[in-house]
Amino acid sequence: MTPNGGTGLALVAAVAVIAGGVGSYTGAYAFALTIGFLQALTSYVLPGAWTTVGVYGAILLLILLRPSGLGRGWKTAGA
Amino acid sequence: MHVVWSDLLITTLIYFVLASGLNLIIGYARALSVHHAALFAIGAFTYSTMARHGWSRDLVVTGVVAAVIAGILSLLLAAGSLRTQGDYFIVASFAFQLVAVNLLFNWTAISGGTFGVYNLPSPTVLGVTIGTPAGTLGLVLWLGRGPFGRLARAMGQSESAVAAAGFSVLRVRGSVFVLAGMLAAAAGALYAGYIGIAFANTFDVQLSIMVAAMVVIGGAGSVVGTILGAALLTVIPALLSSANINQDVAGSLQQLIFAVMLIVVMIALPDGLAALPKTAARGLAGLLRRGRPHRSGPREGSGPASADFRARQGVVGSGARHGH
Repeated sequence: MTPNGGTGLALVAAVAVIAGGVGSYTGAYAFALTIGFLQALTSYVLPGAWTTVGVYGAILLLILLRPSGLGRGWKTAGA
Repeated sequence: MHVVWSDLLITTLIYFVLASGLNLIIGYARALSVHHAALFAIGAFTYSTMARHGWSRDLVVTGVVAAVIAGILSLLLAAGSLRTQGDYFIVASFAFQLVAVNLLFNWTAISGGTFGVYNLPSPTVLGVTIGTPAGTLGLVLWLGRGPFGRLARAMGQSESAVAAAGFSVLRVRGSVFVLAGMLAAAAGALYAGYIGIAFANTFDVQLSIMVAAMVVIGGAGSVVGTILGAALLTVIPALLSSANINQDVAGSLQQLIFAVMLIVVMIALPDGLAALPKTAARGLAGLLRRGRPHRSGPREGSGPASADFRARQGVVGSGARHGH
């Protein structure tokens, strides 16, 4: 245990909150669960070193492919 | 260990190239990206790979190749994620950073994994190490004064106004991001060529944040500020590691100093160190008039939290708010 061990967790939490929609408890909760599930799934399917790539690759693909399709709060800027 | 000033100068110049791209993003387009370290890494490993395989160790060639790779990746990322607004873009940016660096780390043929790549052949055109920052300086100055810079600044203030004026917000934003990506990768190639080693793990989010700190402490949107920020955040770690203290302590101390500097700048100098004379003069004038200083609210758009501030404002500024 180190004093700066929390940074990683805080970042994951920030991702969950933002991606779930700021101000939405359900969204943050759902996204946190999704990230946890993805983490468990990728470490089950792939070697441990690929967990990060699996989880964040999935999130990246999600945002790139469906920028407006993830529940409320996903506004699109005028093109 | 003692401080080698020529080394610090070159490192500062390389960081200036790196931070200039982010300065365009934060200062002009008023967005925040946290994947700058990944683009830097792409540049570094482009150089290391090309040099180790004997393809080229010319900084011009490797720098251009690196810039093209990073430019294409930035374009892909921008095309997909810039339609999303503020906060969501940061998630995409963060995810890109983690995925790119982890891919590099796991791709041991390129990065050497945990051991990194070392004993890289030294680059052939050393003059480029000085020339690129000079070129970047020219480019950024020109951009800042030219129509593109004004457009990017205007977009940072009000996207809808830019769209209403008939410009494609996506295209302007995309251009800023691609340009920033190319600068970062070129800086990465210079960096790997200069220090001769590269470890994938050093290009983490912390580095991205440090580059953002250079921009914010110096003054977002200001060229002089970027130079100041890069110099300051290069010299402080060097002085700390040359001082006779435990490396672990020095590392924590460095984080602490950066954090305190960021907080102080945010509170006392929202325009950064470059605006120190102006801010001081304004504060003094305010005191003399016995009134409160003019601006007490948060400065528009100096961070992610300001997105809604901008939205609330909803009005159009003229593009060029300040002249530098």
